[in-house]
Amino acid sequence: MNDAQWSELANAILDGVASEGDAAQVSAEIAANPERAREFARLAFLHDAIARTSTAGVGARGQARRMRIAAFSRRAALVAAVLAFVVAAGWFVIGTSPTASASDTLARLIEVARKGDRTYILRAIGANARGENPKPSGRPQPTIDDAIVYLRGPSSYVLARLDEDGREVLSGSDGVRAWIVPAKGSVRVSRDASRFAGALPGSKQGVAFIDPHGDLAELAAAYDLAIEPASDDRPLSRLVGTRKTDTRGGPKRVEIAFDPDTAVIRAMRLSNLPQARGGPRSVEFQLVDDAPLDPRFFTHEFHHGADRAVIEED
Amino acid sequence: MSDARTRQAFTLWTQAQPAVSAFVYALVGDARTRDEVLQDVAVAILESFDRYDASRPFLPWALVIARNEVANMRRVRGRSPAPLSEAAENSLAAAVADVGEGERFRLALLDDCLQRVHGRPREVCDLRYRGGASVEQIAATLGMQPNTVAKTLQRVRAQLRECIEWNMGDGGKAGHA
Repeated sequence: MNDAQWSELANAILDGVASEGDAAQVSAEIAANPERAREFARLAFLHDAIARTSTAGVGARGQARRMRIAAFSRRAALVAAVLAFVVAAGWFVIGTSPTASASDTLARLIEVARKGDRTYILRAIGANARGENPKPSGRPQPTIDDAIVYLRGPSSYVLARLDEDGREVLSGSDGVRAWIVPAKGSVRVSRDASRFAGALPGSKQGVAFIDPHGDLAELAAAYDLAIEPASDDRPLSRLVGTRKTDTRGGPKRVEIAFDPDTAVIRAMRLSNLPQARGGPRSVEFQLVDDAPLDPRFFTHEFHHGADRAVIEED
Repeated sequence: MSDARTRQAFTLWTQAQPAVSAFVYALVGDARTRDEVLQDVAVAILESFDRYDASRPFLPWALVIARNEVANMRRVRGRSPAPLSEAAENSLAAAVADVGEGERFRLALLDDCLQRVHGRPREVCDLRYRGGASVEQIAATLGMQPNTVAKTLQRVRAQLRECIEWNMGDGGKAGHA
């Protein structure tokens, strides 16, 4: 079966118009050939996503926005979230004229992004994608791949990662105190608001979208910024930062894909991250929600029981 | 289940849900049934999460539950047999886990690309994916040949895939639509 025949039959299965004979052929291909199986899986993702996007109206998005993390403990909320999360998307409504300079656009995007609560899912790519080199104890660091980061304002964040046993490790800051809530053991708290922020990709490089303590001026000074405008065939604009040759550290390239009309930030990518301490080569961020979080969400007390031991480091 | 355990279940499910959704869609072939099955899957995962072995990846475990729920749905509703063989479903589950991360990120850009589809192709696309109409029903509604409807859908998907790949830049290479 050549590629064109395969594509036609595979789509026929997903469109529900395949004959029994066609289905048997496709089944045999999928069962015998892992690459065909992956192609069919990608097709299924596409069909599924088109259906979901086509039916995701304003009401559904509103529902997603209203979802509260505090509803974790309620089964009904979990069921609702099954549908709500897939249509959840963040959009920041500001004006971005096509002729705006790259630095002006960056400044406006950051200004608006810092006003609300935002939830991102992270994806690590390349090298040691599962995380930085092990600690001296030999225990691997919790992975940032598939981690979720919640941001509020210029100084509050929560990073949720899973350790090698699949248990959740939370670190964050409420803008005044930084903290870490490991899967077991004592909670640690510091008055240094940037303590425990090292796990945030980009945090060591002052990438202001990701690092709540980042210095925008430093970012703008260290990167050459350019806008790749949208066109009829290219619906998203991209703000691309390329690290200047005289700058040390930080990702070589920062890309931010955003809606040119609404300044919706759809995706971000930090490419060619420093490898001295291991970790992923690149990290991608997908904005999945901008629903307001509980007012206490960025405090450590929100994330553990009252019986948990808390160590004040200073 | 403790709040922490529930939060872990929620986090894992949120990460796995797009892949489980695509897998279920491949098995049932329409969005409405997929959504009904997904609700059952979410409840089943929450109810059985205490039996999940955290030393193993979550997604394959969730896909097993999804297959069981699809089988239950077929049994209860007397649906027609699955289009794919059992061996193909096994291979597909592994493939979904394999490509899931890349596809999830890539398809976040779909909404923007879909807005660029206009005219008759958009009509066909809406009837199929928003209205849940079959190819035969679309053909009857629009006065087209079923084969033409199928080809139109294929062209729309190819256009969407191309649009997504452009927006993803060098990381967006994907399979044929």
